Amino acid sequence: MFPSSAMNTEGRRSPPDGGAPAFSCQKWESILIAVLPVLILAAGLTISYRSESARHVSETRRLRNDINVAIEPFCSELSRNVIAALHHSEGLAALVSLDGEPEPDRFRAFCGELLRCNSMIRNIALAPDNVVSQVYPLEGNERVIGLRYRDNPEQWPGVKRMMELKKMVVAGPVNLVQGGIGVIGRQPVYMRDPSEPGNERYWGLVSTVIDFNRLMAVSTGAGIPADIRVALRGADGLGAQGAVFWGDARLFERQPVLREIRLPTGSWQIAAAPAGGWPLFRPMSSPRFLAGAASSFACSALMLALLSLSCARRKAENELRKLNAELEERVATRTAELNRAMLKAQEADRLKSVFLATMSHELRTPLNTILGFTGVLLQGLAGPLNDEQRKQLAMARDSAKHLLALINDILDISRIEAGQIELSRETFDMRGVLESAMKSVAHEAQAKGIELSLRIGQGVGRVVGDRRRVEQVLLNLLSNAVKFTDRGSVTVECAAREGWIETAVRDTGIGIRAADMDKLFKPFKQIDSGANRRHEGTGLGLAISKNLAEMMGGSISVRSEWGKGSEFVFRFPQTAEGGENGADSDNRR
Amino acid sequence: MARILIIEDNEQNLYLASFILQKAGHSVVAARDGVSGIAAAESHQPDLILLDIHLPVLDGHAVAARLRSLPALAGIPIVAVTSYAMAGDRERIIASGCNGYIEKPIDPESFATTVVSFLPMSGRQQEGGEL
Repeated sequence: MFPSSAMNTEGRRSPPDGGAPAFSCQKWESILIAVLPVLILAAGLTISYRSESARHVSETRRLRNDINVAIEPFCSELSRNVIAALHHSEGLAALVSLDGEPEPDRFRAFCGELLRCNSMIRNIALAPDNVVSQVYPLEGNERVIGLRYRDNPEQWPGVKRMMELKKMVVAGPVNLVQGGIGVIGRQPVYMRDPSEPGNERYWGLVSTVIDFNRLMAVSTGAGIPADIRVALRGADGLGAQGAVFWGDARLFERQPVLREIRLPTGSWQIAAAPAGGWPLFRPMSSPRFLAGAASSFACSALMLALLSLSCARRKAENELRKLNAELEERVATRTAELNRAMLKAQEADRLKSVFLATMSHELRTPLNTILGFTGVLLQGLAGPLNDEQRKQLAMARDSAKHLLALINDILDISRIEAGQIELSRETFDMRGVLESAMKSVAHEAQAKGIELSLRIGQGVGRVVGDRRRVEQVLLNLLSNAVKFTDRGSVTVECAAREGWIETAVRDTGIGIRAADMDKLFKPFKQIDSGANRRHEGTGLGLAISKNLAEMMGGSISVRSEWGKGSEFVFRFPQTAEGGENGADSDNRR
Repeated sequence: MARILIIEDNEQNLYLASFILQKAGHSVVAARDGVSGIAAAESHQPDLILLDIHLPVLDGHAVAARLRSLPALAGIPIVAVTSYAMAGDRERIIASGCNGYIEKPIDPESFATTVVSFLPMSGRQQEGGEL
């Protein structure tokens, strides 16, 4: 059994490290740990940024749209007002081209009608050959009469352009000669030759001055929201190319909403932008972007944590596996050591058994001889003895007997402690054993003058057990009783009770102190020893007896009163358990 | 009286047993090992053989078995004398052909009478001898 289990432990040592594939997996994982969270973070931030940017763009677009819608009434009103105001000059031009320059009265009547219809028109002038001849109203505009456009460097380019384009041209706003700011519409007039319908001759121009301030006042009547700034450019109807003439010129540099304001010829351009400027793209102050970025960080951190955890777990598992392997190896080593130790212990045990058997034989053989010859001599078989010789021989024999008893006790206790006593199982007569034990102590009791009595109850007869050991226990109890009793009696009472044989040994001796009770059954304790060793013995008897009784499945109990006596009760099963063949190598008496 | 063969290797024990038996009036033949014991039994035809079990070369069991295999000696009682009283040994002693046994140490006072009790003429053969 042991050699094979030792081989098993050797076999178990080989496969402890199965951790190689797990380790490479860890390397792969560490790359993942480094890359994946960064990727997640980058993707999260990009998405957040893009969505924030898209949101900003769409917000800006919506705002532009709003502004567009908001300025729409103003734009259309402005355009409509200019067109409507200048439309009248076309009528006048048509009149002139048919009839030539009207009479002043007729001009006044016509223009009076026009101005009554349109409050924005400041004046209307006629300029045949580009020299102002008539103006309405004349009042306040006297200085205009006689103005030669050709000689007016401020106004000549506009006139020249009109002549080139051959249609109405809007000029200004300009500072007027007569004061104020005006928008001038110049309508060229061509005289038709009735004889030659395709031939036209430039007559001059009709100039209509719209009061700019009034125009603006009327046009803004529709209202421009206070949070929108506007500016106009395109002086002389040049649209985007024209100069800024109303509002803050810088507005055009602020990505404003641009719209064309259609004029009879050309256009103006309006710029509109929020009063507080366009919303800035500031992702770092956008809660949405910050939330996105934060969740990206969180995801990244979570991933990092998860990966680290799984990595740590794997690491821990590896560690555990390694520890397990180590532990197993240690267990295997320890098991092997234990097996060796056990084999050693068993060998030691075996040697001890052999030693005990040898001792029991070797020690007793010479003692047997001594006992034999002293016995023969005391019997007088070798010749008659005188009293002194008899006395000395008897002393030698008693000492030898005592020595034999000591040796037997020591061997017994050694066997008990080594667990080497096995009880035999035989059928014997309990009465015979009791009587034999009584006989053994009868002599000593008689010598001490102690009354010895035996009472055997009903049912005490044949029992199954180890006769020799039962007798040993009884004899021990009896000889103790006689030994520790100086006067009075020793009574043995044996009874059969419910499958048990109970033998009580009572004496009227010195008794046992309560304090000594627990030492009573311990080996090598003779209670009375120490101060005054009156009684010979090893002190092993009770320890041996108690052990034997317990091995039989029985017990020894004691009751005692110091100075009055003791009662030991030995009980064992009537049909003892135990081995079929005891291994009792001992013999005695 | 009786002629008794004692097969015993221990000189003191042999002397003790011989002395007691001779004092009791028996004649004693001694052998100090198993082989010479068997030879002595054949040549002396004793009335009883006292056989020590713990013998050198050929032990008591073997001697008893050998003696029992010889028809000429079949009727002679063999009494084992042993301190080897292991429970199993007793059965082995009887099984190997002994009529009984006496345990050591021998009691000088009762030894002679116990031996005599195994003689055929006494009619009181006893197994598991007791002192």
